[in-house]
Amino acid sequence: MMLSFPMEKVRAVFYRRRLDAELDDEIQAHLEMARDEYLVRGMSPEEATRAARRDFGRIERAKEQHRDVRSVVWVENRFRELKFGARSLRKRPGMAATVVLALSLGIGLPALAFSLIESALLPRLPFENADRIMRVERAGQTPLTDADFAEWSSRQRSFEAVGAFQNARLTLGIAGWATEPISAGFITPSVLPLLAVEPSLGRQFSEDDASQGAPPVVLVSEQIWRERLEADPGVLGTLIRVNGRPAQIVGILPEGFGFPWDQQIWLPLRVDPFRGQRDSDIETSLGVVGLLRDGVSARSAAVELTALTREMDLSNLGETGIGSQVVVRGYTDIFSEPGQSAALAALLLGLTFMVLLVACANVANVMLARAVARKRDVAVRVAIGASRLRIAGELWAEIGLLAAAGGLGGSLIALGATRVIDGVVPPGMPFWVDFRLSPSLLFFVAFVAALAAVMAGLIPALQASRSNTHDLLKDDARGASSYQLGRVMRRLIGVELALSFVLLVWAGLFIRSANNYSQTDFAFGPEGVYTARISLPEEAYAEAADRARYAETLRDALAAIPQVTSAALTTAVPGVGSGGIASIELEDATAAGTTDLLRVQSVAVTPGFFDVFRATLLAGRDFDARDRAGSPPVAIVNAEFAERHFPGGALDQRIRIADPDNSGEWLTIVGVTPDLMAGGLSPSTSEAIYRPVAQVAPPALMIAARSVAGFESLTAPIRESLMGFDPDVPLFSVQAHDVSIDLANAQWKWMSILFLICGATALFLAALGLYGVMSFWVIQRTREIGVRMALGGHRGVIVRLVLRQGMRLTSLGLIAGVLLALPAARLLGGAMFGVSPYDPLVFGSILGVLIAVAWLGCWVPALRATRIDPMRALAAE
Amino acid sequence: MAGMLGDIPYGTLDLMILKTLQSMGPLHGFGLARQIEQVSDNLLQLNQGSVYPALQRLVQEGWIQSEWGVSESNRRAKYYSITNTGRKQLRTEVESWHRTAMLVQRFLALET
Repeated sequence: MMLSFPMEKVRAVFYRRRLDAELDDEIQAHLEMARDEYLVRGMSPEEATRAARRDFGRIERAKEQHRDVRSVVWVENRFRELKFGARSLRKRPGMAATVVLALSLGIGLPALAFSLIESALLPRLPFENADRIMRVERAGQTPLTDADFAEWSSRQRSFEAVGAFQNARLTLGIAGWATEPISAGFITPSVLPLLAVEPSLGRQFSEDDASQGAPPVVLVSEQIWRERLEADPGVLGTLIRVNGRPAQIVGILPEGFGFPWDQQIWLPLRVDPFRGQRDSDIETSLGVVGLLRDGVSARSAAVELTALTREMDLSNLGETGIGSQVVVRGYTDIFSEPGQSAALAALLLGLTFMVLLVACANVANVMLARAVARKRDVAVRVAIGASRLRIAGELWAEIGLLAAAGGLGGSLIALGATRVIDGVVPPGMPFWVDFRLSPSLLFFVAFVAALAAVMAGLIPALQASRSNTHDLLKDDARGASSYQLGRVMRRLIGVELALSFVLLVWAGLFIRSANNYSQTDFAFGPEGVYTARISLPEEAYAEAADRARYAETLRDALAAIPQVTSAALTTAVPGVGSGGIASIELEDATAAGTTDLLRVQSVAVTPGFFDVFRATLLAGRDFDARDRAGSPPVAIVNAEFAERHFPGGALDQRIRIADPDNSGEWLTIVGVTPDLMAGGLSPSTSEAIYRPVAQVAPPALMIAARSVAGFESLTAPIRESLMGFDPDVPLFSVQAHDVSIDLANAQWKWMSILFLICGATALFLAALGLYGVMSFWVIQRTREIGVRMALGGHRGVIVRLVLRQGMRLTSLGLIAGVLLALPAARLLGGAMFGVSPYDPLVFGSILGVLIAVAWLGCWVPALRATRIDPMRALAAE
Repeated sequence: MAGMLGDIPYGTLDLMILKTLQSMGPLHGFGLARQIEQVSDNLLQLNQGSVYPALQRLVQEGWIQSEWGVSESNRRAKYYSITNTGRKQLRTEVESWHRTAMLVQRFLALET
């Protein structure tokens, strides 16, 4: 049929009542006129009325057809079904509330995952061309030199522009404010134009700012400008002290800008191709950012730069290594492995969708139970002519309403949780992370709710279309058709329990990992050790000898503090972070012409380091006063290094740091230490070498002190002894070492929390489902139970009857759960810390928890069964 | 009795309504129904109620329009009248009806 006036039809849906009334009037007038005519012909009033009606035909039919013509029937029918659904849901508020709760949880978790992913895992930089801004680095955390960057930037073709940056912790001294540590970024003048960021006040860096001997200039963040500089527009030209050195403010960078990470002030970075590898620690390795040319992919850029770099390494080092590979990836893809954030995002979504699946199975079960409870009602309606479509329509309308309510609930859950997360976000998040609900979340929730409705409605709808009217109308307390429904319900419960089991096993494995980690005997006893960072101002300590002297004096001063039992300085503390990776070569191998560059963790330490961490050397000696600048260079290696490369004994063997001109001095190995996790938790290499601070003279150091007194009583004396001989050296990040370890442990804790939330929610839903099914089972068997009780059956017998049935259901789910969890646990594999994926404790305890929860879920219906009054149960039929 | 009377041939009710409204001017539903019955000379079994859905459809097509008015017997009733597009539509329908009728007649005229 042609829809010439669709708008009118749509309007008709909404004005239905008025239009119906109008039609009624019209028909009424018609009947009266017809009656008048018959009256005139001499009929009695009754006869006239009857005749008028007869001529008119069936009034309801005319109305129905009128309505069909009048409006979009489809829409009107859906409206009617929704109304019907809402009414029937209102009649069972408990059932509706349960389903909405289940769906809210099931939809809320994916929604939360989505919002986390959007804000933290796969965020967009708040810049124009964000998709073309790339991070460029050598593979395997290989440090990047100024020479590398200079070569890249002059020869590459893939990027419109490249820029280099370094992060540093510096001190900031502004008149009227206490000097304090601040995160600073050194950036090449090309960085800001590349990111298309304009200063909100003043100018950006020019090439001159980055040239040698240029007057020192600094850019500061809008936040500092507002909080410390009174948002003074005349602030340009003011001098502030950066690391004790005056620098002139030339510009203010806009709110929300924190490139490269969460920086507050920026200094020009001078790239000097003739400077070798930057010799200090992790904080100062060079980072590179590039703006890809339009149409160039990250992959092809990586291919180009890798070719360049291999050529470069071949001519400089005479060989290529893993570090000659160049990795190009999105700037916000911050994990050590490329693609890890996408993997984490998939994991989050996967987990939460498993919970959604459990929730949907639950809802499907409730709908099935309802269908069984109403089957006679439905059968009667079908028998008197209601179409199957109509019945199915009502089912879908009900589920649709429930899913919509669930979507609303889920959004609220996501909203609340996002607020909470926003409140507990640790400081030091990158500047682009912004926990906020976005409009796209609404679309996502709508999508998930629709998906949930389909998943929850499919099985009940299929069942409804299959069941036979005739069978249903027969008296059938335990007929074949109800048995069929029972089987589907049992399977759904099984699926719920199995999925919960898998989620909980994962959670359990992570909890065990976290636990293992915090209970590991690290061979370095982190309790009672306090750490702090210091950084020597570059200008005042340009000479290695000065830095070495400073370190020595500081160590002595620390050791002199009464509470301190031992103290040392180091570039890295065990178990947390890395001192840096170095490429080294072995003297024997080099002599034999079989040079192989080894990548090792390289840490500089003062004498006493191994005492502080209670590590007894396995062989040889600790560094001592003999090992100073100028005396024969020495090294201590860890057991793993020693065993792998010097199975015959490492002492007195010689190694050296690889460099382009083979000019490095050979280091004699004087000691072997147990493994102290020099590279942190999941290092790219766990072989490590230690060198004396006196011979390396790094500009940034950590203090490590073992103390009998607590944290608070130690900070002041350390600060004091530091101030004693140079007030310009800042002290920051004072921390108890076991706290740092816990922070490093956070990944497992977060993971276990994440999995536990999903697992617990799934378990809750499964228990709810089991409870529902068992309650339903009891109601279905009210008569049977009543008969048993009337025949003198014990309450205990009845309880056992129900529990046995429930436990049979449960065991089905648990067997499926174990079969599913065994391969699923292996998926975690590498993410575990000291736990077998088949950890019997985890599997056993979760089995126990599930059985206990399932038991509870059956217990209440069982008790209810015993309260069935035999007389009423029998009379009810 | 009723069985001897034919139902309305499919698709012809619209035509009848339009033609009636064109020649009689505005009518209410009852008047229209009676008029059709009289013209058909009781060859037709018409449920008077069935004119209403048809009227509604024609209104939606824009071929007729409706208006509340007062009947001869002083009752409030809805009057329907044909529109200009309705007249055009009537012409095409009449033409197509003639063509159909002619076609059928030719076949019936074939020698057996």
